[in-house]
Amino acid sequence: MKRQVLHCLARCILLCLPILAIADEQGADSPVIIVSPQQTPAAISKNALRAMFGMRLRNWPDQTPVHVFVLRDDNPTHSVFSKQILNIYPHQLRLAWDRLVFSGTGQAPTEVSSEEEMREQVAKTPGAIGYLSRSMVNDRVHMLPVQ
Amino acid sequence: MTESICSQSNNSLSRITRIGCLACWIMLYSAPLWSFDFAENLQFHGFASQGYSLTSENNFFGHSQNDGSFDYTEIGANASWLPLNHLQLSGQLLFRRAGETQPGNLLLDYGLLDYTLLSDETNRWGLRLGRVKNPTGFYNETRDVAFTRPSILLPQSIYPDSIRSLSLSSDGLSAYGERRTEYGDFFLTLGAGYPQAIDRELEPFFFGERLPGTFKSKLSYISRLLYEWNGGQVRAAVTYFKANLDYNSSNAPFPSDVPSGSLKIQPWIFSLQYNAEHWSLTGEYSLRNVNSQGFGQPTNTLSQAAYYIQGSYRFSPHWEALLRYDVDYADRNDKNGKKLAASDLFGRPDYYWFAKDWTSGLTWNIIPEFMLRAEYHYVDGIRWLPALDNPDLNDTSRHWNLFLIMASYRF
Repeated sequence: MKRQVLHCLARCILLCLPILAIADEQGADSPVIIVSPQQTPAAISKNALRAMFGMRLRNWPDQTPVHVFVLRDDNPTHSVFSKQILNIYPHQLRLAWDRLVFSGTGQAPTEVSSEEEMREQVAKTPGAIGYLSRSMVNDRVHMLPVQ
Repeated sequence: MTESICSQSNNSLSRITRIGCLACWIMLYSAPLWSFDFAENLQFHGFASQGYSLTSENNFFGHSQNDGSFDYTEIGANASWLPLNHLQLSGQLLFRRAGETQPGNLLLDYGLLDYTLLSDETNRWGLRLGRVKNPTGFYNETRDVAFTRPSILLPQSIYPDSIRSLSLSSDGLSAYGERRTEYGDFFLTLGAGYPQAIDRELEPFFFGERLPGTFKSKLSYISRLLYEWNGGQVRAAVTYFKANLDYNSSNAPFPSDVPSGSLKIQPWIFSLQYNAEHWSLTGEYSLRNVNSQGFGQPTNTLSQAAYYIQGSYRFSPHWEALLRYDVDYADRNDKNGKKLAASDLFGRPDYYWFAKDWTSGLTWNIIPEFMLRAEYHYVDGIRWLPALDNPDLNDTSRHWNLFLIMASYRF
């Protein structure tokens, strides 16, 4: 009997762990992808998202130029965005940009200093893509789900 | 003869610089006439690094014994502009000082037009025309930018500074392709062009001293296939480079010059890297055939081998430590250099033909724009010791210690 209870408990914990982990990762203030209101694809694939933030995909499917906005490397939201949404460590992302910028084969994303500025820039720049803490999103920018 | 070549290249350099300046002025002055997009698609970036080297024996980048040397500076500034979404124009000026080998020259590091023919979610294909960086191994394209290197000195076996001009860039055409798949991303580059051949570097490396003749590069080829899995968690690359060079003798009798000849330097480089959140493991292995014809000698091919293995650990976003073992053999069938030394026209010692380097280093990223780095090398052999800093290679030590510090700023 005791053994059965223990078994049941262990099973519950094992089942709940991933849910707890997901709940933690997708907490109320985890970053989300935002785009300018003119840009309205239904969703974006992870590959395309990585290519855009890797500064290698310069146009949307409708050929509008992509304009990438990021926060500073040492901003906590940038770090969470980079690790959880792109699955790339921030220092790897910086290296990828540097390799383009210092070999003349690409450009760096536009750096903004705060989430307010991020929201403002993405709202007013055609073709813009960026990210925000979920609580910072308002109706001036579009939230883009990642497939 | 050499002087006139130097002044010629200085003239062409100043011409390039003048055209570059003029273009910059036109761009700046006409900026208000362009739409808002103009300024938006124009970017300026740069870096400045100052190094200090101290050696127990031998000289590295200046007179580095006793009090050490500050003769190690790297400054670069670049501009890039996207007049159209598929067209990028970019150029970088580089000033570098590294002991006697490079007393301080300004050169056009790259200057190119990049046209993307096709770009969508899974593909990107295009062409680059002009002076294009040579994509060899993991680090070569941005070898002079301290922030993109794992250490102050790149592993000299795969990225020798002693013949760096050859590997810097080529004047020609290059085609590139990117393919993103669910199994990872593939990047292919194929190029043909003329690498730079700077006498001041090449002559001391191949002949042990400056000679009155001149090196000239011939059409050379480069290709690299790079694979990245999971946004760069695993990176793997294969590079093949075929650099062709002619040496045109001044026709003075030896020992003041050697007869004309040609060199074909053909490295294969295999690169592999694993990146975890806090640590990275990197290894590169190179097999390099160096074929020489002429020079008053029988035709000869050396099979060179070079490799390094490197681990780095990030304690925090601000601190990173590095450990590396780096090996370079001028002839993999003569690893102790005895046979090469016995038949060498210039009488260089056996330990000239190899180098084994243990490196440990520490990086402090104070802010994203500013970094301090220190590293210590224990080296057996002088394969990549700059000959111009050590005019008598027989008066060098086989075992030597090298300590380096570098401060680097970027924007």
